[in-house]
Amino acid sequence: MTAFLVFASRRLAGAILTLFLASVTVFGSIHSLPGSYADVFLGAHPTPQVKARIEETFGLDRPLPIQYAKWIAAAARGDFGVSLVTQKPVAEEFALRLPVTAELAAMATAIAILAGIPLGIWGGLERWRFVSRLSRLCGSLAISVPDFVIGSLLIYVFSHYRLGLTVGTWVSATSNPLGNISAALLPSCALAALGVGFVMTTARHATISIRAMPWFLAAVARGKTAPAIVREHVVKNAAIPVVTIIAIYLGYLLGGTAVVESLFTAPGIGRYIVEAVQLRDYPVVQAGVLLAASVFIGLNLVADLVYAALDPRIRV
Amino acid sequence: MLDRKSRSLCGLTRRNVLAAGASLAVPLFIGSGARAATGGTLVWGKSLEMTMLDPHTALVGSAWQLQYLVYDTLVTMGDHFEIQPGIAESWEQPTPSTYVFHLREGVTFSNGRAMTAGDVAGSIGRVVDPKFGSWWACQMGSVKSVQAVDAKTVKIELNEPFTPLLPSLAASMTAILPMKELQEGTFNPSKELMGTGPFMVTAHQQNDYWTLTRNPHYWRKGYPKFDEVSIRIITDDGARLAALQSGAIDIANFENPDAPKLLQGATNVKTAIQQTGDLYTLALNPVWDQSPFRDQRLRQAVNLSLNREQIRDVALSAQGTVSGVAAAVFKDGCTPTVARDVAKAKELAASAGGLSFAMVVQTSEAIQRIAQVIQQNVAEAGIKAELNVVDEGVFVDKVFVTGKFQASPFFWSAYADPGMVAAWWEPSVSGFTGKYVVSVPELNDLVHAERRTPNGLERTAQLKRICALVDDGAQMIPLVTKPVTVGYRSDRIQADIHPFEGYNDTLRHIAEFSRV
Repeated sequence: MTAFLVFASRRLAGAILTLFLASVTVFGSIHSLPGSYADVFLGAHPTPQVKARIEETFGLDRPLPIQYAKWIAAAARGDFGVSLVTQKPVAEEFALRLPVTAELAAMATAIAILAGIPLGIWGGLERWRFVSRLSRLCGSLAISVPDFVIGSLLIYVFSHYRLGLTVGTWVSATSNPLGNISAALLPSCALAALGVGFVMTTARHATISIRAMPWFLAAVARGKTAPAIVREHVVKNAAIPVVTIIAIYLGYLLGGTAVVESLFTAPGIGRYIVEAVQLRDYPVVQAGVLLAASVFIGLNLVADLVYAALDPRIRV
Repeated sequence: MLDRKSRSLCGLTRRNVLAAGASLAVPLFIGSGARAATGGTLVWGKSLEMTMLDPHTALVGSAWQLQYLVYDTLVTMGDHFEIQPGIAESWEQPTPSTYVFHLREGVTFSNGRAMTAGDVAGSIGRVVDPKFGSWWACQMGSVKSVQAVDAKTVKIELNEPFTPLLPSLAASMTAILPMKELQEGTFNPSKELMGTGPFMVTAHQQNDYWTLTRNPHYWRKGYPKFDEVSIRIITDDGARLAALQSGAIDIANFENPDAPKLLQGATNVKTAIQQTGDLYTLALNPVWDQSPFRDQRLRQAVNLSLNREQIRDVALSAQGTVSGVAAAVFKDGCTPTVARDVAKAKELAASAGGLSFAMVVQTSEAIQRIAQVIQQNVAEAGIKAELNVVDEGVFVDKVFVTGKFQASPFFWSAYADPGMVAAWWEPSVSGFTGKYVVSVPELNDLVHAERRTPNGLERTAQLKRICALVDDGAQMIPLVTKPVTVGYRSDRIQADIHPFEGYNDTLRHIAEFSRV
């Protein structure tokens, strides 16, 4: 138990140090970008009076170490400051946008699972060679074609032929649940393409390797039906790599939705942070990166602790 | 204008009455037969979010577009840049440097308080107050005083005559704010909007949407016809086009020069091109010590190598007008005084030992295309240009803040008078172009003189000379004007898109728009 506590303390200290370094890096990076918030705000018509007023209002006239200390002390208390653009608390702005990104990520993951696993297993069984090849081709295409290309294609087809789904604008779930699904479906599909490719390819490879196992041949020899073999042997044994790839894909989605959100005008957190970088809205960018870093560092910490709890050799 | 032909004769305004009269004389002027309906929600796909709420400091057209929905100005602009009554129903000019404005009865802020002459005088006074530091003050001349003479009269006295005063008072930068609330601290114009205009803001989520509802106290009885305007911020041109085609939005403005072509053939989508005096220019920096353009011969070499028609046709899909600094869309505007001469450009570049330069280019589609055509144009004269595409912050820092750039294409708004934008070529007027513009005494004198001279032959001649001097100096070379494309669903709304606009108030007649 003592060894575990020592291990956990060391990992926790490491996580705090990493988080501190991440906070310094994001703060330093965003503030070192050419063009300050006041510069971008005033554009071609800067007047010294207005610039000074803006910098004083938001404390941007103070030395950077002081600005950092003030920000990190407040962030440690859960106060991420106020957006320079909207002058509303950053936490409030995030709370408005996080559900949109979460919804898109959840729908994309669901599509990836529902489409990728059956297609992958079907392709891996190679019952019909044509289907197997087609699934391999589709998997490669889905992985290699960027989501914004797929998104643009979907936008064109669904708007040009007016196929019924909402295109180019967002509908909130609270105001119109059905309209929300209609608006979220296409961006989710664009995001899901990569996931379908990953899941399909992983499931296919897992199925192929399962087919080579002696117990698979034994099941066939026993005269089990194909659906029973898939259900009882293939799905269970392919689950581990598939679940792993889904977890990785979900992690990617939480930070990788910005382009698709912009393309489909979905007011998610990714798009918000990208636009904040362009406007030099420091508190928003800092909070966004710090939160993402906290999540990843936190998950890593939990994983380390779980591994250590399961396997005592790791604590050494 | 096609838009007007399709308007019904319900809810007549003065403009409609005139249009109806014309329709009697010209049988071709007939309505579409569709009946306009009041009420409902207009959904507008707007290309850019507004980041500056205070109209007196707002400096980009994306903010002006929205502020015009909420705020009023003393005067307003007609469809061809003519000045028309706004909050002031009439005005007089007892001396060349004195203006007396008579305010309308029944003008009320959206909170229900009647607007007073004090609000008007306070608002204009705020803009010209040096301590406040509005960038627009330099476009209002030298204001001696702004006084509320009585409850319905406001007097503006200038230290010297200033011809563009009335056009500058049509800008949202001189919007009438509720000064009483502002002074009492119950209204903060940098956080909220409250005016006497047709709509008032009821909801907003940054980068996503604005919801505006009809101002129940609006002074134009029976307007606006729509109960609500829902503005969706759709930054991607393709997504906005898709939203228009699919019916998710009713109307959208487009910056992409290809928009008219992309909208062609879209069912029930009408397209209107709105001409503006806004000018694409190429700045060649004569100030920075690492810029080759400190040598005027090299600036002239670039100027002589430019093919403005090609810039318009290729980069801007044949939209816009080749123009001098006094935009050619104005009555007294001018066309370029320098003709393309590649041989002479080569000669000038060679005499200065050759030329190679770098252009700082914004991410805007139109600007990037303009830069590419310029690159090809100068290559024909043996000049090598490199393009550095940068984000907005880097662009602003390099060009407007530090002035550490060699060349950069960008655009200026030209407002509502041919002489207004010329002020940016005289660094002492603006106070902010000195990092990339050097003073030319003759040009400076002319800019000041032209602003004092009443409209007429003398001012036209001055503007022509200014155009020639700007072209000769080749510091910021005027290229082509920047029109705006508006697309709207003709099966859903009746919209009147006016042909000329100076302040990016793309939907100036929005109060008259209605559901079909």
